[in-house]
Amino acid sequence: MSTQEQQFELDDYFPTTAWLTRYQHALDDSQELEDTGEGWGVGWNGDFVFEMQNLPIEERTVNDLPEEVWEALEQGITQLPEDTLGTVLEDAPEDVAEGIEARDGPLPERAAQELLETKISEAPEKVWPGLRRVMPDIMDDLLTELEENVTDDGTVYAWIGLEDGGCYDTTTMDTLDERDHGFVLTGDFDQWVDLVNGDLDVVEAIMSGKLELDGDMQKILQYSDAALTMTDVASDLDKRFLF
Amino acid sequence: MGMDASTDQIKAGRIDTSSTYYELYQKSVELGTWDAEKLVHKVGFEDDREVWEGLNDNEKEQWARLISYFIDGEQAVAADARRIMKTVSSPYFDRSMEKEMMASALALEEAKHTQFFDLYITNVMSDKFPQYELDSRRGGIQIPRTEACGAGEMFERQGTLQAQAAHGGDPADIARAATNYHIGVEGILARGGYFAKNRMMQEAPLKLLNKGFQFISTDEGRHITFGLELLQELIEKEREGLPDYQGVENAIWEQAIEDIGYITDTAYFITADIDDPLDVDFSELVNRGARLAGDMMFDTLDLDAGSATEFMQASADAMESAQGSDYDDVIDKYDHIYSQKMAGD
Amino acid sequence: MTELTDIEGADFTADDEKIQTAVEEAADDLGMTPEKVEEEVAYILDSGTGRANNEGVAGAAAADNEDTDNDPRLEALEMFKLRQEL
Repeated sequence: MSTQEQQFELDDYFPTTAWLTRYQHALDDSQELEDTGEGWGVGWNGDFVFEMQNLPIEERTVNDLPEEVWEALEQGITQLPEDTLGTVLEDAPEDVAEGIEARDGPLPERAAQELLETKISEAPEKVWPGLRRVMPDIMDDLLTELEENVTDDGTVYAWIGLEDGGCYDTTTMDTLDERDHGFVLTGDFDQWVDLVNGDLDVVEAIMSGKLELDGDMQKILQYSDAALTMTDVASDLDKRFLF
Repeated sequence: MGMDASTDQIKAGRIDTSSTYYELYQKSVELGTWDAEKLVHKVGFEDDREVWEGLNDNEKEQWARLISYFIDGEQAVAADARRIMKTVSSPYFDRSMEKEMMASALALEEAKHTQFFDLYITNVMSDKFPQYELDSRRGGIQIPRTEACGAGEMFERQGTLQAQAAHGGDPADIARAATNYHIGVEGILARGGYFAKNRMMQEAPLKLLNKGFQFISTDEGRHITFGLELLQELIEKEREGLPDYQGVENAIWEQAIEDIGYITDTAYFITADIDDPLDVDFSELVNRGARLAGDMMFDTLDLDAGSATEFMQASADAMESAQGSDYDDVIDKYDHIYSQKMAGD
Repeated sequence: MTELTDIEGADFTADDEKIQTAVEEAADDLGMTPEKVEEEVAYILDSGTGRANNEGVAGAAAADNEDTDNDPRLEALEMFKLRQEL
């Protein structure tokens, strides 16, 4: 099945809070983690933060998102009756309206192109409520994710609550210290993609400085199998990368 | 005033002056021929003695644990330098002359490092080292603190590996010995020790000791580059498919995995085991050691990462056993043996 | 061999101009060319690898020497000057 025909839900996309919730359930269901992580975080803070830096929100535009996402947006716009589109566009922010005006061709194409060529970082503020109502749900949800869970400098702080071989909660945060934690694993988004794809060995990544681990190394070494299970579970989980 | 001429403009005959080994040798002549006695005279012991006397016993103990493995380690590497000189003339290397020149510089430098620590302990730290005079190669043993931790075991292993490499060893034997000496002992154990001393100097600035460490660490940097060059030569030949060289990369990993156990044990011994009074921080030491290892094994040698997990697991096993160790008990036991040896029994 | 200003892997706090001036002054005092001094200082830091890996010097924390701003290059230069006296 081609990606165009296949339907994806928000929790298929990495990195989103919805995906993180799926990760939480997978960790919690993992027998291996239950075995290797027994005692982890009991009497001490075993919660982790995955700090993903430098998401390419400045470099990429909407049409760099997965094909099915931007195609749905394009279709959503071009398939609107022209007068409905006209009404929707009446509320467009000035710079968007000017951008559409400056393009050649029929209005639906111009409008679609203008939005598809918007920088990811600017997308949430350039998309106005009227447009969001006629956008495909997935695009609307993703914009909310971008707005709420990616910091202005392109960082995602994913917090993972771990205790005694289970995962009791996950969330994303605006800053590193929003929630208490015992450990932080930090790296560029590209490295995270390789890691959760199973293409990067977490130990090699830490040894070569691609990822940095901050926290009590006595605990990490004592529970090294549990730490490896955490990355195994992430790589075993289906995902589609937003970037 | 006369200016130095650049050495690379001087024509040489049989020596290949474009060789990295020659560059390392020449830099050893230029940078590594410092005089330990002059250093001690120039900086003096006084300030260090004053700082030392101001430390409490636990803080002194932390320094003593670090310096023990340095003096015994330096003596062990100095003693094994003769074997390295032999190993680099092995027919498995294409050229040996420049390597032998560098190995001779290494031998002098390691001897000097032993001398520096001997002078320092005798004149500043003697209260924590009532016993350290015995020459471990003449029927003595290593200092009890060295014997009690992984470093002591690692130095003994080093002697065996270097002997195997020097006495007709094949490329895998040579790789194992070079990994243990240049990556393990010099590249991680010693450099981890410099990391620790940097931290400890914040609370206890022992000026002369710091200067000595700076010279020593600079010399060791060249030795590490030397060792990595040797390993790269062997790896290249293995990758070219030459039959005699097969098994080199595997030998490097096997040895690194063995050594990381000794190193982790030592890291724990000098920090967490005594509640880390001078704030080295075991976690940061381990992280730093992991980075140093990664730089050498992945960046420089471009080894396949397949065994990275085993590497961490070996470290994990060693740490767990370190947590269960009663090092003081072992030190007491060796103190007793050492006393008997000193008394000539 | 790597140029002193091209070495990677350490936090350099002093600007290149300050380094250059310090190197020139040291060269003058030692009767060496600035290029040679720079070469030696770079080698102290990187042992020919292009990366500052001299933990004992580039790890800095030289609590005894506040004049160097903890820039490993200045720390290495101080060390080289002392080395020339030994």
